[in-house]
Amino acid sequence: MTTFKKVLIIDDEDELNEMVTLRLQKVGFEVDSATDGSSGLQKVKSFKPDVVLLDINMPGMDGWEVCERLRSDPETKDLFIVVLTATRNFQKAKQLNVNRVVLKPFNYDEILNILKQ
Amino acid sequence: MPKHSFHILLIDDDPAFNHRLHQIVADHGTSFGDLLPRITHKQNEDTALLFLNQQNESIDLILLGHPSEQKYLQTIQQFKNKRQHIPIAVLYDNESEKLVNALVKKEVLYQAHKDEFNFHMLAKIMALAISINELDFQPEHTPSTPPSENTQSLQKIFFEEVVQNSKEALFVLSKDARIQFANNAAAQIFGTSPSTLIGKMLSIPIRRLESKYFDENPRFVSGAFIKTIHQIGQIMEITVPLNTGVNHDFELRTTAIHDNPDEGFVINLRDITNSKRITQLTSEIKEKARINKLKDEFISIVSHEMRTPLTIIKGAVSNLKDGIVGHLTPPQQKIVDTTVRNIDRLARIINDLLDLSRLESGKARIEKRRLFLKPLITEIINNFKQATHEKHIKLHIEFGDSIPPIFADPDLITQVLTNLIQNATRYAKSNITVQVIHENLTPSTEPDKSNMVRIGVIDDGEGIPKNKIESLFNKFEQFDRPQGGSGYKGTGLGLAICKQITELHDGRIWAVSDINKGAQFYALFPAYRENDIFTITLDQLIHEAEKHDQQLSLLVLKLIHANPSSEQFKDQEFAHSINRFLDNIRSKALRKTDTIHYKREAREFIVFLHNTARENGTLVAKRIQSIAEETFCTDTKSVLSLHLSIGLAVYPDDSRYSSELFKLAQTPLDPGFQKENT
Repeated sequence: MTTFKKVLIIDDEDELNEMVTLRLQKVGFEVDSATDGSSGLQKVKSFKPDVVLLDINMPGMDGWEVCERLRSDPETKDLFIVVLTATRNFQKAKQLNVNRVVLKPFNYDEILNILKQ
Repeated sequence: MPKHSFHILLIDDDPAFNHRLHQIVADHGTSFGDLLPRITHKQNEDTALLFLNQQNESIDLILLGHPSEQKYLQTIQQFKNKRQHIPIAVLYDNESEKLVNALVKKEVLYQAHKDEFNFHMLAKIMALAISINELDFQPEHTPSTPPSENTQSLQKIFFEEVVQNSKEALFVLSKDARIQFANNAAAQIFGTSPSTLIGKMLSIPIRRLESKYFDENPRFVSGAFIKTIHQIGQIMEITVPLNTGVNHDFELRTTAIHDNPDEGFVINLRDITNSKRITQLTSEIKEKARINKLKDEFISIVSHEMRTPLTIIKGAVSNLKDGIVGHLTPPQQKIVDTTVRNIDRLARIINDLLDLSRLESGKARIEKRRLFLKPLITEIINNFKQATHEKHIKLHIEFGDSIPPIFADPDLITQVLTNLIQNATRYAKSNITVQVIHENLTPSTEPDKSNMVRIGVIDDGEGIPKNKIESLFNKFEQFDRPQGGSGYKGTGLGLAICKQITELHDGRIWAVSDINKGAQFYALFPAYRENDIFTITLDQLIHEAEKHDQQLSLLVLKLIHANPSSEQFKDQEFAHSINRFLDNIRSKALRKTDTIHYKREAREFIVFLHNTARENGTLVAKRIQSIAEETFCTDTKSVLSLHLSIGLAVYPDDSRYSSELFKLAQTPLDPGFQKENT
């Protein structure tokens, strides 16, 4: 059993990031966020999260590409990725070895259950 | 000049028809000019053959009046063998009509129903017979006068017949616009007969006129009007109120006789009412499709755009509700709870709407594969363990013996089953059964449809009134079932989505229920067949085409034998021809990126044409058709009398779904496709 401590949220909606951050901090997680793919990848390097909550539909680099890059980097190839998306593309998620998919709009419990596993 | 110079051999056992033929000749004696027919009458084929054998007489035409059913085609062949050049015309009656239509094609000069036989028809047949003889054969007995003179009078009759009965209305006018000639269609505009019009002034009332040259609508097509449009040299469209009370649209053309208006005019009116109506309907259909597409796009955009703020609202209100930013008083808590519950409801509606619009518009990605149900259903049921435990509901699985894999998209099947089990969980009292049964529905009219897997979700709840079952699967259909659970409200779209999904899988969904009898929902999916590999291939190609914004053509070729029970399909030689055919197609009709597959059992070929629109798809079909003719000799006399039918379907014009495209490509192209644009 692994315990996650550091969570990175990558979503272009900063207000959503704010709300999720608020919630996760309250229950003891260390949280950082990014609002686009490339700054998200940078924060993975600097913040070194245990888990990434990743949005798919983002301008510029989308979530799938972020995922691909993380998986092709030896340092992050095993990073726990939770995709938060409105579209049900589970096949794609499987192909990219995404650990979990949570459909938007989500319940915090869905995320918390994954993080506390 | 001999009086009887056209010799007809009539074969008919009905003396009345012989009499009728003689009567026609007698009545119109002078009209035939030099070609007054002489008639030899024989009762049947045998005596006729005997006559041909014994008498070395010149016969210009055989009229076969009563074909005896069995040996009909042989008879014609026998006559052909005996005297190559004699044209045969067949006159059938109600009894022999089908026989004649089924058998006779090129073998005879002309065929018609006996009831329609009259002087004009006889003249036409004679004119045809003479022209055939003049063009194709050197008769053994050359007529004593030059053929051109012989045929002149008959051709004149023939020509008049054609003009008189033409579908286009035709008037010949003198220069002062008096009618000198009007054919039947012209007289019909006035609701009268041609003869009553002769000598009268032309005056057709007009409702509407389409022309930039006339500012005010003229109220009649009159002499002055004709002269003006002749000067302008225009074709124009007019609307004429017929005396039947209906307005008809005509295209009006006018020509001066010998290019000289002083000699008069020929007026030609073509009724374009139907073709205009068709054009109008076509554009209406297109407009409807466009609006439908707009609607789909609208729903898709709106629901997608709504989800983002909704996710944020939900995130924010949930933080309030869960006391993340401080505790709420009980009344505040109640209000926030209501808010969260309804945000969830709105989210479900938006998700379902989006799903449904994707499925309906063909934008949903469907990836069918060989799918084993046991692991899938077990996983789905695991997700309901908590919910059923809380409600003290027992969830059973009855998995039948040797259930074959189905051909389906796992995500979509999961959606259907999740929906059905979720509904059952809401309404069941104490038991839910998920039942999987292999249904081998034999005998079935459609062999493809016989091998199915049926999944049932059965609850012991209150049930659904019988009269509501039919509309269960409609959009936004909900019923107040008392066990519906507190607070949870459905979207009214779940079962409509399930229906769409099962239909996209060539399956079916239905419900059996009544009040106090629980509800049983069944979904039927086709078992995986070896041929489904082609659908998987097509799915992949569609995916590629979609990515590169290209079109894709699918051809289905079917070999059809004149005699379906023939053993020839099993022949070694046949296998060789198939290979030759495949090689020829690959080298002469396809590009390297295109692929062709042969389904031996079905005698079908499947061709995938990458990046190919309909026009080029048709072109390839044409090439393949001519290769088939070379390879299999479509000639009916050949040993291998095979015929190839070709169907074409184009992505995304015809459909975005592989199964739909396969269905559409089953329909053979109109046989005329080979002639178009060549």
